[in-house]
Amino acid sequence: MCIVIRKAEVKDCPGIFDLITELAIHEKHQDQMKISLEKFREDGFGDDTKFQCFVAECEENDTLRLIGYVIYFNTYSTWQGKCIHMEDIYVVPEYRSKGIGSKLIGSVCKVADLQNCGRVQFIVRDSNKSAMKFYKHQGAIDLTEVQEWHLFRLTSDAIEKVAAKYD
Amino acid sequence: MPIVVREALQTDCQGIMDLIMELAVYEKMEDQVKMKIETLQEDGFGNEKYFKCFVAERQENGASKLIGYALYYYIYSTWEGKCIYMEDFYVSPEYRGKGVGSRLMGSVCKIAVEKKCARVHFAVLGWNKSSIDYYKRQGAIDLTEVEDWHLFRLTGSALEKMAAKSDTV
Repeated sequence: MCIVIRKAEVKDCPGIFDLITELAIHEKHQDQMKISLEKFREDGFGDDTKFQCFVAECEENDTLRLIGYVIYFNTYSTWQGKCIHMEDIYVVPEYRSKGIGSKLIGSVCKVADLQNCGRVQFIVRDSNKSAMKFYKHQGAIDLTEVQEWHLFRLTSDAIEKVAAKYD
Repeated sequence: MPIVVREALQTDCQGIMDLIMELAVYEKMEDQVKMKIETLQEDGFGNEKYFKCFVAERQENGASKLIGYALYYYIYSTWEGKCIYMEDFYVSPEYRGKGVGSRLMGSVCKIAVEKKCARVHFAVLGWNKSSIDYYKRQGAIDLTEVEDWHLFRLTGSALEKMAAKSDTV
């Protein structure tokens, strides 16, 4: 069994999409998945890419299978400049505790280093105690706990109402 | 006293920098501001643009002054596609209560509608009750309160230590 971490390619889209669906089910939010495989492929590998991705690939009995992925993109801090946000990180349950998650996150952090991005940020559910413990063990700061930052969202209906105030 | 809300130009960067610092002081984190005007100019108006910005400008006696801004960029949700993150949103205290904030935030939301972005996200400090009340009145959901989401950051030596674990081919 050989596991390789590499940049995702367009041919990986169905495999990544399956893992995204698995993660949504794991987080009990599969009903919130509105994106199609075609849109995902276009957004990641089309003319105007909206995210980047590393995958963890396992070779077993001459078959290749994607067993983890991390999706990230650039963000911007008016205090520090270019940053990276890690949107998704997932390793299939049977391949956990082998350091794959650390290597996937490490790949993103290496990109941050190369691009002079001072921060890599991501969100974690408070109920996900094992993930919280893992990230804190890696030296990540819980900004919600330490500095009281709350994440807010406007969804479609509210966005349209607020947009109507634009002159 | 007309106030105009418009897209930012490169020439606005000094005024935006002044407001960035005002906002940092308001959030009690002014020591964290490392931004330089040259970087802001390059990152917002250079070959690769990392953010977009609306500004609120007031004209008085032939002089113009920026009194508010909303700075945003595109992000991505693997569930919903392209979204917007509003990184900064601020109106100088003496110009609040006049609808300037709604016009700035409205401008960002109009872009979200035009670009078919399903979500606009932003972060607010938990002690900032007046801002939280304002956003909730606009229909925003506090995802930290309702769904327990915490914002995490890797920076400095922790970021470098993680980078060293990479063995990407």
